[in-house]
Amino acid sequence: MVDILIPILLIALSSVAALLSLESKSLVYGAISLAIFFVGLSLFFFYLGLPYLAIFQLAIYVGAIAVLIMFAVMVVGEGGSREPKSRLVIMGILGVVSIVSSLYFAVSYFGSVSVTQGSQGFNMSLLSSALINQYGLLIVVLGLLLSSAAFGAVALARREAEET
Amino acid sequence: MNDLLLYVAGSTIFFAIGVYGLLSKKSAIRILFAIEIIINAANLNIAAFARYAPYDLGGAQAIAMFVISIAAAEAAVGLAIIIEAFRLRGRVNVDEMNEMKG
Amino acid sequence: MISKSDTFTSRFFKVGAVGSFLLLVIIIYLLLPDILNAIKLILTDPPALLETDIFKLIIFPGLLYISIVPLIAEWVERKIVAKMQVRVGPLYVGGWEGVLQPIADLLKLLSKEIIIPRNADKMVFILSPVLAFIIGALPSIVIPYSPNYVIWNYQFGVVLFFAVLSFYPLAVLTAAWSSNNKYSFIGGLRALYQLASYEVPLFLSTLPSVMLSNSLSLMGIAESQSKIWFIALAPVSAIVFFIAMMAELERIPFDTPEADSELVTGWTTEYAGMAWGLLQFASYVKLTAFSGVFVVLFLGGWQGPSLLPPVVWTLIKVGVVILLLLLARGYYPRIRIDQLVRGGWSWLIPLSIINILALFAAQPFVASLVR
Repeated sequence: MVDILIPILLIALSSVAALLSLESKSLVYGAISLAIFFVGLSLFFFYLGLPYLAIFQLAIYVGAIAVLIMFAVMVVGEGGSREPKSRLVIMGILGVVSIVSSLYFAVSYFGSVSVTQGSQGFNMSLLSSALINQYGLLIVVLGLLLSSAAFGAVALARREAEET
Repeated sequence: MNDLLLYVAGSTIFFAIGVYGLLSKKSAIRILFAIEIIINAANLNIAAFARYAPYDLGGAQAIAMFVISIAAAEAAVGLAIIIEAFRLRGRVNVDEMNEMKG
Repeated sequence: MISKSDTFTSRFFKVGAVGSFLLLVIIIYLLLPDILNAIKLILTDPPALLETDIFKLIIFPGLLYISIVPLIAEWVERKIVAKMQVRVGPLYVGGWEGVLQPIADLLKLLSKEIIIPRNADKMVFILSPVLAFIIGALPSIVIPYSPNYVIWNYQFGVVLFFAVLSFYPLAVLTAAWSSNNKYSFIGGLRALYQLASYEVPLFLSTLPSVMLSNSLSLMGIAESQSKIWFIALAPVSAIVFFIAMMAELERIPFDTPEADSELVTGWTTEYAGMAWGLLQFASYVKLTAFSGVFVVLFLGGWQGPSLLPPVVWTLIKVGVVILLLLLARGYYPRIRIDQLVRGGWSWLIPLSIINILALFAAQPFVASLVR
């Protein structure tokens, strides 16, 4: 019973944080609750028995991306009105309904899939050998992607005349 | 109901929240929040399958790590674009950015 | 004019005090068997007390230790900097050379009012120093001071340590923004540039130790230095880690966020009284955590000739590292912000990568030196 209570609690906490980040009046509170959402996801990964992925999520999402988002939010400042047009809200709710109704099909399909408990638990050497042997090329491509993203972001956001 | 279904349901709920935010917000930064929520929902789905129905011996987690890295690159570039758009216009309101329409 | 912050502060502190008391009661309830066991051991068999978990959590590598080392470090710092500047430093409080000066400072800060600016975001303003303290104190639970004195021997201790410490810019940004003061906001952005620029060299320079010891747990890294310390096998990485550590701690010479002549006190300008005291305390607690991990990663942890117990070796090494950090404060001038950012990105990252490549090349020769 406790076994199933913790994921439900984490889902509730994370969805509250996600909704707060979208609906809060101030953008900075939104950024802070987005960081709480990322921490909630990380707790999910810990509970799933994937500790390395959880720490990776903490270090990169909360440690880097949330900081970057908060920096951008503070530079941009709070601007514009916060009342969305009712047409957009209706579109949003239609999108939500269509996605949640796919949950019905998910239930009817996945309810019968046999789950195998990952019998060996988490093994760091298997992860690292898979990373090098199977996904080695992908890591190189990812490095190129990240460096080009960094160059692009610097080139876009740099001021030519003044400096901060 | 097995454990995998619980995590798939949770991932669907987060995805739905993200889609609601993506479609109904006017400020580009809120839309970026919604995109990050969607990416994390998909990542949770991948991680749940990596744990309960793994296709690969130990490497299924690596895919989730790649998704996190790609999301970091995309957030950096997206925020740079938003900052530049803010400098040119004074506010980031996606309804007003329609010069390339038609 | 009576500011509105009075009623908010008093209400917030009342709620906070009641909530913290309840949390303390819950924690004591959960730890009650351990506490009773410890009390029983005090009465019957004192040396066995040193082995219990509750001792580790509260006294030695835990709360009491990380609370006392900042006080000692603060006194030593003021004395050393004073001697280097041909002054005397604290002299009067406590009889001999002002040893009780840090306690006098603590009492003074406790008795001052915490002034909250009028248009500041009150809850975020008060909670940011608390968050900064938690981020500084939490990583110490994975540091091993001896094979017996480690609170949590986590198999990914290294990664967890640096992942938690990478939350610190978030606390700095919220503190700077909620002060509602454009100068402290500029100081916060400068602190963010510095902290972000030196995070990558910090992570990269821990890689040689992990590679050599084939383990991500701090205990495993300390155990595999029994033949030779890693500072001899990866000296460049040790230097890069030391420099990045000084930058992450915002100490002189990397003092730009607090540039006294330019920004008053930088991002902590609006903090007065115990909120500022908590921020200083958090800074010194981070200092002890970083020194502990430097000792474990490069200086061999608790390895040493067996004429002293391993714990004493660790404490001596931690003391030496803290002393070096305090000496750097009196000796160096402040580095400018553009030199700082350029140094972090274009000097330290290539240096740490060079060391990793050199270790790849020298791998067959050093494999026998490990463990």
